[in-house]
Amino acid sequence: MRFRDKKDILFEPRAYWDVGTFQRVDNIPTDQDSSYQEITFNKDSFRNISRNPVQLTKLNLCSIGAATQDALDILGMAQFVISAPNRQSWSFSPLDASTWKQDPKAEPSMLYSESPKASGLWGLSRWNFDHPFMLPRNGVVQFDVSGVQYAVNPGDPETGPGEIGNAYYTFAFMERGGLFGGNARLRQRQTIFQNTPGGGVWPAGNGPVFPLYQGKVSGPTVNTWSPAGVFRSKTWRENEVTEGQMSSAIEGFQVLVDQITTDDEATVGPNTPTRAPMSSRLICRARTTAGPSGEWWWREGAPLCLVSPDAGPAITYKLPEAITLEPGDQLQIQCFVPRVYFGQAPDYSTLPFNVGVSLTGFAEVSG
Amino acid sequence: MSMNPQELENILRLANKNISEGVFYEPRMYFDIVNFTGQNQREFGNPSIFRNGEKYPVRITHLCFAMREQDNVNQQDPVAGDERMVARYGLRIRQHDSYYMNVDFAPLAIWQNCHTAPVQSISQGQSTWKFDKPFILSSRDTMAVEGILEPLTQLTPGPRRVTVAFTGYGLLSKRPYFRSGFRNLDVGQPSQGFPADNYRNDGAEPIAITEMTVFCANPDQYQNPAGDIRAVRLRVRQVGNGTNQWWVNGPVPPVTANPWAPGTVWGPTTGRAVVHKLPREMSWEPNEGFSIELANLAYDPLVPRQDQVVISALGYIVVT
Repeated sequence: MRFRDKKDILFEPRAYWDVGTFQRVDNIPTDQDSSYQEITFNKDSFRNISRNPVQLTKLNLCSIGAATQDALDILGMAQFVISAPNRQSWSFSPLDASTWKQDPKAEPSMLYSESPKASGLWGLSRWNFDHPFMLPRNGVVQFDVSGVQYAVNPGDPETGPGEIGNAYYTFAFMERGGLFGGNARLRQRQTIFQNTPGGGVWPAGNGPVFPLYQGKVSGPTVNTWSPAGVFRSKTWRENEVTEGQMSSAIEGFQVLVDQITTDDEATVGPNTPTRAPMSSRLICRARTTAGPSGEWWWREGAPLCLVSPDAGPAITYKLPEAITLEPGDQLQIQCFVPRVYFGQAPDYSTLPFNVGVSLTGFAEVSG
Repeated sequence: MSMNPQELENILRLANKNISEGVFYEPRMYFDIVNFTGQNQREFGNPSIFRNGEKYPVRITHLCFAMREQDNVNQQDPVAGDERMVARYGLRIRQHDSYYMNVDFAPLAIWQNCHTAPVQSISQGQSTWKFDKPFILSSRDTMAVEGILEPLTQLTPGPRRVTVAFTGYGLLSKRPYFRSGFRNLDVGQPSQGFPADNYRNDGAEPIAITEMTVFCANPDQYQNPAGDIRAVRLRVRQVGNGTNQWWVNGPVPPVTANPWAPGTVWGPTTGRAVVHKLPREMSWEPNEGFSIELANLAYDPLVPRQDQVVISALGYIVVT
């Protein structure tokens, strides 16, 4: 808030994120007091390592890497503690997420539709930035999205063996300007490339989770970003409507995932679970070239759903007041998730679930 | 020499100011149904639809897109008119030699920038339109509402209860007013008028109508209360003061006129349509408008698909 009225401040999106795991249980828990599992996220993931102050406005929570939506359903019962280590706590006891007002961002329900097991109606992920950021003339946004492992657990009797059909994504960055007052820089529909099951290319894995997340030791490799998922600078410049004469005000981005075929081919029986949006399995990174700071907007490899506070599967809460992180400041986030019995799912029952949390906002870059 | 974007912005702002405030406003909707037969990847909209054919300026605020529900005659997979197919059809709009949102076709779903999802229990059956400018239902005025069901053989047989409601407040008393009427519609029936008595303003004060809601129930509404807004089509106008013109301007096929707008696109506020709020209201002087062009982004000549896409532009007319 401090610099909002100063004209020499440029804004740039920022997100801090991390992913933790919790275990499924084999029996229905009876002792409610002990029925919560604690996940303490890595403090370093929420440290402001840049030289610019960052204001965080929204908290996002999502199941990560799961192929089905059953893991999403319990997150409304999660509890949180957000604190600045050794300095300040935003509450003295865990806060029930369900008692906060969620930001409306859901797609219309598919429950009573012709495709009740579909992952969603539109498959859209969006972030409308709190402040548009000014991209200088000839500046380019680098935005890369990973591939995904399509055939989640090919031997799973619920989804059926074999390959599951292609999915596609389209990216758009919304900017001001032009005759209509706005314009979309568009990366046209591309097939989401398939990571080899079990091949170890992050974030592919062998099950409905990201195994490599658990140890928090792996990061994206050079193979993570294929040309199909890259918003090329040539395409970015071709979409220019202000003819490169002035800065562009970029207002947000949208990623559309068309997973209609994969949804339909995976949900073949009446007992198959509802599919989860792929945005919880795709990872991404973004920064500008010749932009305000040139820094990554978030630690590379954030799940797409955690940087989409305005549309997507994550549960999003607007903070009552923005949290300001000065350079070097950090936050600690603890999450408490209920132990929930998911019924008989022998292939999955021993596997952990991943929960992702992120704080999104903007950096104030001195011009 | 190209125009500086700031200069362009200033000129457009001045141009918008030149339209004086109106004496009154009325909602307007322009819609087209673009038919993909499987033979062509690209289709153009009807050039006479998205055009202001009246003598007062019109301002367009929202665009709504949806797939039209159809019989799945060719056993397509996904079925013809599957509402998720908005991810596979792209649109571009052209006006004054400029394209929006891009010179390329942007998938319809990626245009979505408004939250419109209603709660799950009525998500399938309801559309709501909160007007940008309320219109005035004067004393002794009423509304003419006409509805018809889509001619689908796959619809569950039996009459469907279709409800159209208007809500607003009294200009003098500020008390709320609710005007609601329904009609049981059946497949194959000609269009039916809704009872005008239900909408009449018999009071002593004008009513500012702020929003309109449409709900289409299922024939087995007690077993499946979610409804199906895609099954109904409507048109509406005010009777009494105002322009008395139908709010809807749609395609007129050569054989039978079908001027009723699909129920889905009556929902820029809540409903199932993809809703795009324009970054700047578009002003149409008389005879001004835009043209649309669509493309099947997943076109495969070996597996031709038949779908119909509904495109609508919503706003209000400024009667000066």
